[in-house]
Parts: sequence; C-alpha cells; structure tokens
Amino acid sequence: MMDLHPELDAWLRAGRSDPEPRHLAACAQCRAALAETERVRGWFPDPGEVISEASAETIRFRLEGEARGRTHGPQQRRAHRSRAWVGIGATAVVLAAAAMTASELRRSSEVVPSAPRIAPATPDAHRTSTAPSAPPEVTLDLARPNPPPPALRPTSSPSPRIARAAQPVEPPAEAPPSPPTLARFDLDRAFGEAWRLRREGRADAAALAFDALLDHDTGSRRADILFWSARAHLDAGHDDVTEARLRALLRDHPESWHAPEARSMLAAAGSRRTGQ
Amino acid sequence: MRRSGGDATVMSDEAIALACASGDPAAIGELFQRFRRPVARYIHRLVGGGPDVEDLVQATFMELARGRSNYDVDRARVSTWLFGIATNIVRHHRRAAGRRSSLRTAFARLIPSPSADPSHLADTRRQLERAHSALMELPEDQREAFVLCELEGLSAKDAGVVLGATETAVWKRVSKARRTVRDKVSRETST
Repeated sequence: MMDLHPELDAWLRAGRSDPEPRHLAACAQCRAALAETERVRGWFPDPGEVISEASAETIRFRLEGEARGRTHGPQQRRAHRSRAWVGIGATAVVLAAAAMTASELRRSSEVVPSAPRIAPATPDAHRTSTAPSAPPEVTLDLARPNPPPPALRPTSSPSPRIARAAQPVEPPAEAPPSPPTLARFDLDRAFGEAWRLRREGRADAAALAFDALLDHDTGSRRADILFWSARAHLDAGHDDVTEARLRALLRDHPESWHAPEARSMLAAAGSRRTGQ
Repeated sequence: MRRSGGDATVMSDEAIALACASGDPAAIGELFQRFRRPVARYIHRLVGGGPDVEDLVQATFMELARGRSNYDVDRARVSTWLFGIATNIVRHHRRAAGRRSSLRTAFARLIPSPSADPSHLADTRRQLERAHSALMELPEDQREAFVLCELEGLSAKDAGVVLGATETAVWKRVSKARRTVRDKVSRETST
C-alpha cells in the first residue's frame, strides 16, 4: 500500500469520524490509497445480529440476577449469618432462662407430703454401746394415703419471670407454607426452557412454563417472570390472564424494569377491549 | 437506578456505566442492551464466529455484574472500556482453550446483494472466506488492532487504551494487518 499523506493518515488514525480531509480532493494518490483501505474493509461486512433477541434476553436476565446476587453477595451473606448467630444466641439465652425458671419452680414447690417421721433420738441413740438399747423409734405412717402433689404453684407471690414462665404457652399459629425456593441454576434453566418454548412459537407451553416458575419463590426475579408470563399468555390469546399478570407485576413490582412496558400493554389491552 | 419514568433511557452511557459499579441490576441490564451489539460484533470478528460468541459476550458483561471491572470516566469512553474487557475475555478464552479459533463456516449470512448473479455471488463468497481466513491467521495483536480500528471504527488512540499499547504501535499493527490481508486475498484471487 502506498504511503499516505499525513493529513489522510491522521484522519484514518482518528477513526474517520471527522469530515474527510480537504487534501483528499486534490490528491489522486491519496484517493487511491483510501479506496484501497475501503476495499479491504469491505471484505468484512457487518455480521448483523450476532446474538438473537431471545438469547440477549436470557443473558440480560442472568446478568441482572448476578448483580442482585452481588448485592446479596458474600458480605451481605456474612452479615446475615452474623444476625442469625445473634438470633440463635438470644434463643439459647431464653431457653436457658426458661430451664432455670422451671427448675426454680420445681424446687420451690417440692413439698414432701408424708415424709417418714423420725422420732427424736435420745441422747444415747447414736452412742455406740454394746449394751442393748432400744432402736430409735421410726414410725412410718403407711396407713395414710399420700395426698395428691401440690399444684406446681409457689405459695408466695412469684417473681414476674416465674409468673411468665408459669403461663401456659400458646401453640404458635401455623405459618402459611412458603413456596419452594429454586436454586439460581435451576431457575436459569427453567427460564431458558420457557423462553425456548416461546421462541419456537409454542405460546401455550411457554405460558405454562412461565407460570410454573411463579409457583416457586423466585425472589427478585419474580417481576421478570410475571412479565414474560404475561407476554406468553398474550401470544396464546389469553387476554384475561395477561392482564392479571400485568396487574400483579405493577402491584407487586411497580419499580420493575418492565413496569413501563407493562403499563402500555395494559393500556393497549384496555383500548382493545373498548374497541371491541 | 430505576427505569420507571424513562430515567434510564435518557441517562448517558457514562452515567449508566458508573451506576453499574454499585451493582445496580437495572443499570447492568441497560448497559447490556445498549452495547451488546457492538461488543458481540467485535467478539464475533475476533474469534471468527461460532457458538462461543454468546458465552463470551455474556462473560464480558458478567465482569461488570460481578463488580470485577469498574468504569473510569476519565480514562476512556464506555465502548472503549467494554472493548477492553471483551479483549481480555477473548484472550483468556484462547489461552484456556489452548488453540487458535478454528475457522468457521458462518459466511452464509454475510453475503450481501441477493440480486447478484450466482457466479458473482460465489466469487464474493470465496473472497470473503479468504479475507476471513487471512484475518484469523493474523497474529493476535494485529487482529485486535485491525478489528478495533478498521472494523469497529475506534481511533488508534482509543484502541491503544483497549489494547494497552501506544497509538503509534496500534497504528503500525493496523497497517501491517491491512497489508497482510490485502496481499493474501489478492494473491489467492490471482491464483
């Protein structure tokens, strides 16, 4: 390739962003050189869309998930673990206090109702003596039945702690079952599978696949899943479900990335309905 | 960063890139949307296409999502910064694979001009394949410089930031690469 004029060389170096150098109009040699570089560039046309929209969407989903994982990453997990240990410690202290209280209660209420009465010993009673002496009088009142044990209640007014401990413990209200949590890998895979179905034009199956994800605890990705579920239902012609998903998305995740589009989809659905 | 209200769409590339540093998922998603095409095209050209491209694009942006690379507004434009990350990812990929990327047969969609006659189309196709082959046979540093400056339109100075080389060194590589590709394609066309 022939040597380039400095003006042309500087223009090429700068990425051809400025207007063409004036020198070019007057110099046939530089025009030929530029044509040569353009010919070589022409052998490498733009490859177009290297990554499909569907793949791009999956990648974006993973990236955002990774970023969320980062904001809930090792440091945050460590802090969470610390809080958990504090909670465990506090629970242990409470349990220990409860155990102590219970034993305290037991001690305070331990009344031996019919302990064998030992007759007062005579001064000689413990004297070792070869002389036969009467054995100490021990009378056990076996005929009288034992009274029932006293209620586990101290006779004196209990301390607040004891009172609290003595209160009957209400069984904890049964918590509603939480949905199962999907591991990130499984979530990615399931999301990718749903997307594959959608890409293949199997809208019904895709809608089902996205809906299946909604049965799990997908954390902060729920907004994405709601949105794509709505899209899949829209493709499948399930307008009611589409609207329900979009409304759920806007209600639960009003700041979601998809919220603006969800609003416009809802508006479009509304105008379609009024048009009908 | 929140998109509601259209904030993200009016934010500059630099603002979004800076927001990525805080691990904002929406910022990372938006940056990916804006730059996935040039980054994918660049990687496609560096590795010659194929199934690895998608993984490499994802790996490039994953560096951001994992907070391994933060944008420095004083140092480079956002595209330059992303090309730098992509370059490192591709280099690492090559080293890990322990091979040069094999030539791919991904030319079918590169062929323009559907109105051209079949013989012309075949010639064009052969020429593109030769050019592609020549590009893949270039030393890595020349190929990177050539793709950045000639095909992605970066200035030699920006490409120097991406590649960690001086502007002059980059431009020499570009010139050398251009000459090599042209000679190779011309030689094979004449034979």
